[in-house]
Formats: sequence, C-alpha cells, structure tokens
Amino acid sequence: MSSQDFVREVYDASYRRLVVQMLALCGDQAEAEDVVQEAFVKAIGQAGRFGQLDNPEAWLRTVAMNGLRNRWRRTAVLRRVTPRIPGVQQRAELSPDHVDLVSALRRLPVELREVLVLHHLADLPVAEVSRALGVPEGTVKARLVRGRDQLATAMSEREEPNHV
Amino acid sequence: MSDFESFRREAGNEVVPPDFDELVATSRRRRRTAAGSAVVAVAAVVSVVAFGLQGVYGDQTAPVPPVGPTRSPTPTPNPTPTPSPTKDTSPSPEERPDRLTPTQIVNDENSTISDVAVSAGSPEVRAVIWQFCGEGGGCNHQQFALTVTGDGFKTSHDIALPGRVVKVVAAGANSFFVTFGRSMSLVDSDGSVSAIQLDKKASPLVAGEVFVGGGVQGPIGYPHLALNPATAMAHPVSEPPHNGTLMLERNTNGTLVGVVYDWQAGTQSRSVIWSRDGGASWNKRLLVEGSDLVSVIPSASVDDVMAVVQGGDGATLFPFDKVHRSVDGGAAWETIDESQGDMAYLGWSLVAPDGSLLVNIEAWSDARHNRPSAQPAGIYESNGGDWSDLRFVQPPDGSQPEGSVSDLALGDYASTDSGVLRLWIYDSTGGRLFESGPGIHTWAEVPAR
Repeated sequence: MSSQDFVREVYDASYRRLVVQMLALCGDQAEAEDVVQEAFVKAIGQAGRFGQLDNPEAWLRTVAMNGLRNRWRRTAVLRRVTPRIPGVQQRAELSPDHVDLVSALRRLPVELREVLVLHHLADLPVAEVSRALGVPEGTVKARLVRGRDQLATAMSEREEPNHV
Repeated sequence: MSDFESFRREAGNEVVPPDFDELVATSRRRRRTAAGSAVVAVAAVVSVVAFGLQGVYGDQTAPVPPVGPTRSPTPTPNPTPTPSPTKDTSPSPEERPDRLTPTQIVNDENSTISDVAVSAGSPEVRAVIWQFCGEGGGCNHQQFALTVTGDGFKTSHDIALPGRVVKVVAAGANSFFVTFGRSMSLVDSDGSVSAIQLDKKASPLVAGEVFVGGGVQGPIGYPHLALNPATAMAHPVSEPPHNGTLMLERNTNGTLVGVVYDWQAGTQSRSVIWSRDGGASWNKRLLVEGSDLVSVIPSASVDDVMAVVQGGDGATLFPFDKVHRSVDGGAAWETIDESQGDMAYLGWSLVAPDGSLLVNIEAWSDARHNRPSAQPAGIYESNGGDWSDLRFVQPPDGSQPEGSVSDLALGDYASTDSGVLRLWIYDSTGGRLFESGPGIHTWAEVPAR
C-alpha cells in the first residue's frame, strides 16, 4: 500500500468522526469540515511520515484542533476591531435535542468543552486526553466533573435528565 | 452521556466526505505553489506578516507529524535541586515573583499536591510534586516542583520541574522517575539528579528494570518505558501490533496488562492484552465490539487477578456497566454485568491483595447544580471477591461523608508478599497526605513536605 493509499484509508475511516468532534467544539459544520480537510491536506503533503505515525487519527485531531484554536484567536482579534455582524451559520440537519447540545457546549469555557469532547465524543481515556491537551490527569478529571455539571445546567432549561 | 452518543450517530450521518482526490489535488497545488519561484517574494512578504502576527496570535505553525518511538524528545535542562530551608520562605503576595523557586512552590500554603510516589520497601522514602496555586485557588499557574526525602521529610530536597505534565514514579529503593514536559530524569532521595538515556528500540522488560509507564510526553505517540535505575537507561517496552491506542499497567506480580482501542475500516473494538514475560510475548482477548470506554484496574492481588472496567455509554460508570475479570491468569474470563443501579464517575481503582476491589467514586451523577448526592463520594471496597457488593470506606481525614465530589487521589500503593496492603492517598485540592495500613481502614496523616 502506498503512503497516499494509507492516508485515503484513514480518511475513509476517520473523516466523519473527526468532523463530528470538531463540530461539537466549534458549533459550525462548515468550519469543522474546513479544519478537518486542512488536516488531511497536510497529511497528504507529508504522506510518507504520516504513514509512520503510531496513531494517525490522534495526529489529525491535534492538527484540526490547532486549526480551530488559531481561528478562534483570529476571530477574537477581529471582534475587537470590527462591529459584530450576525452571520449565517451552516449546521448539519440536527434534531432539536442535538442543536441544544451543540449550543450548550458553545456556552462552556473552551477548556471544559475540549475535555468533554475528547473524552465523550472521541472516546479518549483520561490519560490520553491529558496527553493530547498537555495538562495533568487530575486537571482533566476536575474539568470533566465541572464540564458535566455546567453542561447539564445549560441543558436543564429544556429538560431535567436523570444523569449526564 | 447518552446525548453525546446519539449526537455522534446523527451528526455523523449528516457529514458527506468530499472526494478524497480533491484534497490530493489541493495538496499538489500547494506544493507547486510553494515551489514556484515567482511566489517566493510573496511568501517572503507573507512570512514577515505572519511573523508579526505571531506575536499577537501565538504559534500557528502546523505540527510536523511525529514519528512515534523514533522521535527525539525536545531537550530540556535537567532539574536543579535546591536545598530546603527549615521554614517557609514564601514571599508575601505583593512580593511574589512571576517564577517561584522550587522551595517557594513546595512551601506555599496554597500549593496543592499533584502526584506522590513512595518507595515500596521504605515508606520514609517519598517524593511529592507540588503545584503552585496562589491565593485564588485556580491552579492555573504552570509552576511545579518536586520534593524528595529519605527520612519522612525530616530533611528534604526541592527540585524545579519546568514542564506542564508532571508525574513521579518510584524506581528502586531510593530513586524516583520524574517526567516533566517532554523530559524525564532520575532523582535520588538525596536530591541528586541524573539524566535518563533513552534507547528508542523497543524490547521486553527484564530483571532489574522498573515499569514506569509513559515517559516521553508529546502530542502523540507515547511508548511505555522500562527503566534501569542503576544505569539510568530506559527503553520502550515491546508492544503487540495494534491500530489505535494502547495503555499498559504492571500488576504487582509482574504481569503486564493493557487495553487496546483498535479501529480499522470505520469499526472500533476494545481488547485486553497481557504478558507474563515483560512484553516478549502477548495474549489478547476481544472484550467489546464498539466504542465503549475500557480501562485496566491495576492489581496488587497475590493471585493472578486481571480486571478491566467497561463504561457503557461513553462515561465511566459505577456500579460498572461491566467488569471483565480473570482470576486464573487469563485462562478464563468472566463478565460481570452491573448495569443496574445508580451511576457515578469512577476515579482510581485497584484490586487489593485479597482479591477485593477498591474504587474511588469522584462524583455521583445526581450531585448537580450544587446539590449534593444522597450517596457519599469517596472510597468504596467490595465484599472480598464479590464485586457486586460495594461498601463505603470512612475517609482518611475522618470527615463526615458528604455526597459531593471526592478529591482523594491515589498517590501510590505497596503490598508485601504476605498480602499486606498500604495506600498513600492525598487530597488533590489541598496539601494533606495520608498513609493507610495495614489495610484501608486505619489512616495516619504523614508529612508531604
């Protein structure tokens, strides 16, 4: 199998999953698809080295998350110097419950949102989230507890679930 | 988090991947563009602008794909030991500098314990990592320091840890393996520090070596390391082939036990693996077809007990959705389905020498909106080998149990050949360290600095 074929195989297996994770982080499907596609373009450009990775999906996730963070930084600067103009947000055709979930996630601080998405959507164990974000495991656990609580609070306006 | 599970399914169905060849074409266009001489001048201008913007936006360079075990760690200076004063020399808040000395971090009244390691044969030989938190208690400062002692903190040595992810593991009678950032060192209880030489070639764990878990931190790719404390040489432990994430623990009887998060062609599975010869040969058993979370429960059992907990809906649950357990070294596995009952979030867990199960419940899921749970968070113990019957253990600090969040972290544990267990538990939001023993029903607070 050529290096490019390997990237294609990873693409087939991981693209949807990564877009969903980025969608949960940023709340905008177009932006989520942009950063994931950008990550794959970088992988294709370095296909030989990409093929040697222990965990290619984790590398793609890191690149995509960095892409989102860079966009947030730019957006934060732009918002300081330009008037706020409500823009059209492209979203997947989600059910109302899931639109609420994405909206509630967007109201959480980024550091809480990241651990929730990586742990509950990307299925990463706490140790892996710790490594991905470069923070101690205890911090990840504390953020998970706080994040679940704040997410449940944000979503309780629509219902009172038994657990989160 | 069943909301997440259904969101994952629904949103995933809405995503339509573009043609892969379009991405390939984009990549080719960029390479051609980058190679074009006419664009060099433009690129130079862009570089100047980007350089200027970097001061505003931070590092925006794309990470280069690391290459797993062959990647070189970023060199970082060895930590420097600092003799401890006999009393707190922390400056007042007004005087507090941006970067504190290790002794100031260790002795600051608002610092919290981040990790603990204790020599198995000599509990007076201890290492504690402290994190500076300041008066606000936010602990957002990335300032850590290690303090080591050979006499229960009658005397000690404080060492700076210039990194974010820090971890300490006992490595032999008088030394500790410390990771900070992407670096690792061997620190003796007398405060001396040795650089660890990493042989990147994977090989089995052999006699004289200590399993110290992941050592080289980075964005991805984390070998499990074996360390020879006598020579300060480390190497990755041989792993079985896998697609995805692999995590290992070493049981007290020497068996390496791990879980593998495999993914292939869009499907996921979870397996347990184990090796009795330090990783030279491996056994593997499929546990789960799907995306449930699984994690190894380390075992100090005198028998050959291996255990893996499985959380059903993406959260780590208790009582467990399922526990997979073998009491005969992996010949037979039983799956204990415990999906009935209340739910809570599981912290550390351990199989005790007598085969009973110890778990820390960090929080019950009904403890929300500042409303405590009806059930106390904290340490629970099974009724011997009957892991379906779990009972609350009185907290080491003697406080009345409350149904809020348990901040009790497991620093280290040790068991004797006769099966006597000792635990070292610390309050992860404070500075108190407790030693149990024998067993887990008697506790004493011991110095941590």
